Amino acid sequence: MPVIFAAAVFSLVTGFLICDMFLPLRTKSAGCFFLKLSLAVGIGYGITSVLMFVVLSAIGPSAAVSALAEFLLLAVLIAVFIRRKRAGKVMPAEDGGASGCGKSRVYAFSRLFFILAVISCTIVFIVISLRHPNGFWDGWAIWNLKARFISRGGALWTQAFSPLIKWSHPDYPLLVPLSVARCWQYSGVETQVVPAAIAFFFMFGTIGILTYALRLLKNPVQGYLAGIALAATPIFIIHSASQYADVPVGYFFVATLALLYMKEKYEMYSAGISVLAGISMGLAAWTKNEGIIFLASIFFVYSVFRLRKVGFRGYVADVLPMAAGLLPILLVIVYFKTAYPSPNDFVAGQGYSVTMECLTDISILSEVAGAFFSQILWFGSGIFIVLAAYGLFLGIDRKTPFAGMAVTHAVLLGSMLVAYFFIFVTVPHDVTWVLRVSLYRLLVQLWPMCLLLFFVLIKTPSDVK
Amino acid sequence: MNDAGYRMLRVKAAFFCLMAFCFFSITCLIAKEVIEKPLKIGSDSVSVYSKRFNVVREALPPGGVIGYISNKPPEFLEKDNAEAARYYMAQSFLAPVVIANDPDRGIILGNFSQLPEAGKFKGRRYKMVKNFGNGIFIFVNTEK
Repeated sequence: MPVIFAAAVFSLVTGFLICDMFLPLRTKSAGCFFLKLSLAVGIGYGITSVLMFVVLSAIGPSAAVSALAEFLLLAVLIAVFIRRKRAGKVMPAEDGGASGCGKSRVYAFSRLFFILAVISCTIVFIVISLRHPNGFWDGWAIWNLKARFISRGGALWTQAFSPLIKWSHPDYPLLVPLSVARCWQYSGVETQVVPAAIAFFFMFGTIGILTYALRLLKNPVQGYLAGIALAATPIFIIHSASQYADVPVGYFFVATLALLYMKEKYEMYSAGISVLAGISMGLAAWTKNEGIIFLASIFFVYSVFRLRKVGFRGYVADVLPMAAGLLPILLVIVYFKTAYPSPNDFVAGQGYSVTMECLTDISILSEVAGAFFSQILWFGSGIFIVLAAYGLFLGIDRKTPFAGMAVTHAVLLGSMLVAYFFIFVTVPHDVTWVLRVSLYRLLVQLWPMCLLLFFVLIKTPSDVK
Repeated sequence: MNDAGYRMLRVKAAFFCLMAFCFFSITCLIAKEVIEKPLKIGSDSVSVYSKRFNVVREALPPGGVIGYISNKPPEFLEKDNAEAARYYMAQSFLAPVVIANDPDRGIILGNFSQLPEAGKFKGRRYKMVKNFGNGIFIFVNTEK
């Protein structure tokens, strides 16, 4: 247990120092600290999983070499942190959006409710995890299976990609399995506490990013409202405990967008935030194949809007640091896909003529469209409808400085839904079955992003006069 | 009440409706997942089923590919969820051995939900080398 705890702390501290290096913002309130802590979860686990994969691919399984690589990275990060602090490069405290909130009753109530919602999530998560210690179906059949191959396999760890077990989706990226295998290897014990704890950190990290990014971008009440809305989405909490990779990939989706909004507000840290956003995009693609769709979509959409806004030179200055953060992870992903090639059953299933038939089949199109409409409308037991009504009452914040980024965000969300729609239409399986088992999970991935967009656009209660 | 007053009233109403919905949602979730369902740690089907593979792992080679037979023909993967679950669990808990869903391997894992008739494999190419007493067998394919 102590070793597992140490491995988790190692990841977290590594992630935190990376975040602090590229976003040296400080605030009087704890908002910025909690945002970095929330970002540290994914970035820490992501970077350590990438390091482990590099060691595995280069020299084979070696817990000692992996640990040494992590230790060296952490030592460098600590040295950089100390040097920056001595050189006075740790930025002075800023207000960070807490001004104007004061000690209003709305603030006090929303803060209290947020704490209660977080405690409730924790209780529900723990109970579901105790009831299903191995996770739900894909948790034990796919994600933890890969972790077992990696931690038990020794030199045969690559059997995880055997075409004889293509039902286990050998093409799936490895952030979650490597994170689990890493802790199992270091501790020498294959305990179910590890995948459950990692799932817990990602759930909390997602709530934390949404809450504290909005706290800094708008004000604390807006942040707490968004956090409460996410914590009150039953399917999000239940699915967090499933030990699937949907909540982790959704984490990186919302982290990337939160960082891009932060870039708009804190222009003096623009380059550093861009690097973090690039890392987050890359780690989304390292978590699930939907992350690759996200990476392509966000790069394209962001580039189009950015080129229009700042011109070519400004765009290059913007994108270069993002590419610097993304490139190392992208190289690892490209190596993974080429060294261990496996077809994706959703994409490689059928030929051109069958695909065109599906795209022109009205019954399939209408079934998929109907499923999208009803599942979106009733997502989270109807929270979508409640939030729509809330937005109508409060109104859109027309003075928001994030209008441009919000449009980019909305177009990105739309393009991902369109991409998912066409994947379902052309899937080489029974479409009714696939919609039943998969659509809600894709919506869980996108939900934190939706909440971020909603609460950025909608006025805060204190804005309405 | 003037316009500003009505606006504030509307905002407060919307805020409290949202909070009420969230409160109701969280309460229902706790009622459904924590209170209504009994919590019996370790009694979930996967944990119970997986225990049978602890001794099986020790009897198998440390890696490589083995075959698989069960009460159903190999097509069960697409037609029979329960049988597929048994196969997936066997693979999940016996990794890093790869369990191919066919009997054409040197070593074969037999995983039967209903025990096969005595002598079912007598005279055939499969020679039973280990019976774990819980529907799990290890066979050797005498032709491989």
